[in-house]
Amino acid sequence: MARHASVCSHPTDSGQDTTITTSPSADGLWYLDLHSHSTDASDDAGGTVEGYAKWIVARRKRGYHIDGFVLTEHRQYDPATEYSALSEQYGVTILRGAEVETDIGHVLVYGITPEFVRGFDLKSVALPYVDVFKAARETGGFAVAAHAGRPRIGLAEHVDTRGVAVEGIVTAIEQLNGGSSNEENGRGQELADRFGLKCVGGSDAHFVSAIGRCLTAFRRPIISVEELVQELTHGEYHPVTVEQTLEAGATSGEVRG
Amino acid sequence: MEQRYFEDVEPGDEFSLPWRPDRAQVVAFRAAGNPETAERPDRFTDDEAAKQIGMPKAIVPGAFALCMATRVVTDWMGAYGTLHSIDVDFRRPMLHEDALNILALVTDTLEDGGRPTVKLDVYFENERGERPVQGTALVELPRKL
Repeated sequence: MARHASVCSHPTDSGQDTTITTSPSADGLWYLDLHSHSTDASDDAGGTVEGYAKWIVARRKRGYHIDGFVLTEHRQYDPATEYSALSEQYGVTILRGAEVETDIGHVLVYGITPEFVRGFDLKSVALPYVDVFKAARETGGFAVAAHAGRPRIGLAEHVDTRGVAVEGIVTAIEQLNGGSSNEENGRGQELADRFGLKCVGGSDAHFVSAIGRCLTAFRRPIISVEELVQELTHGEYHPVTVEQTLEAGATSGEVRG
Repeated sequence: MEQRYFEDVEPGDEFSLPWRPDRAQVVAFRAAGNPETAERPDRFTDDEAAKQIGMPKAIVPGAFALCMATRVVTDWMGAYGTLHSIDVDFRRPMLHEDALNILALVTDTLEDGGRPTVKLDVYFENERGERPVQGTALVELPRKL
């Protein structure tokens, strides 16, 4: 199927307008990597934000479809940081959230507001997960249990060994995580099936070539964090591997093991 | 060893080396540093010692993994390339007999102060779908005359 460039202009989460020139995927889905770290703010990362954008452009030339990524730096959120210039330069959606650490493992938070930040010490490694999920929801954001199948830092083990509550608190998990093993991602799927949770995918990239390795496929274009929260809360989406975005197979929504 | 030239490289280029580390290799590696302690039973050579620290079996020394990653890059760049830096993170243990693949991917090519430079990601993959070690390397390549 031929691709047609389209131009979207929206305010970014920083309030500035940005213009993204992109091409719709063959299946009309919008592919975002919801979990990544960069040298700008994560001390264990080796990938730069510009490096990620360049790599996505290179991947597109090889037939993969990656519309953008969300930076979820560890235990922090700087509202002053924004990447609209890079986003425009490379035609890649670049949004920001955070990966915080709670008593049930790591949690990805999107749509972070000053009110949310005031409520927590983001540097803490044991935030109360009930409060984090509740505050994200009540301040206009959305929280996702990261790498849910991973030992210690994923939700599934805490459910299995300590019986922590899920229903009414957690609505979505990162079932497909690029840093997890196949077995761990399978454990995340079991958790999602058991509690009827929505699932997202993210690379957990710390280095350039990992960006976009796992993605979330949305039914609508997303170029602002407000749109991301809207879609995560009310839209339809599912996790995919980057191989599934190749034009020939982009209609598949199945997650490979 | 084939010589690599800057003009022939582009982002997305990938090369790899399969590797199945075993006890004999680990002992040989350690013997290069100190032959007298190379076979000492510890977490790197002995499954039981490894289990005592929570590992399922003996693990590969990090320094050995770094050397193997370096070898992949230097073999690829050729004799007239210069490895300016290589930096890796150890995220999960690599076990003896793991079916590993050591991969290097060109992530960028640039003129760094007039020097033809290539940025690479270097990482290991295992049969469990994990990337236990990952990092970056910076290589300067010669130009074609």
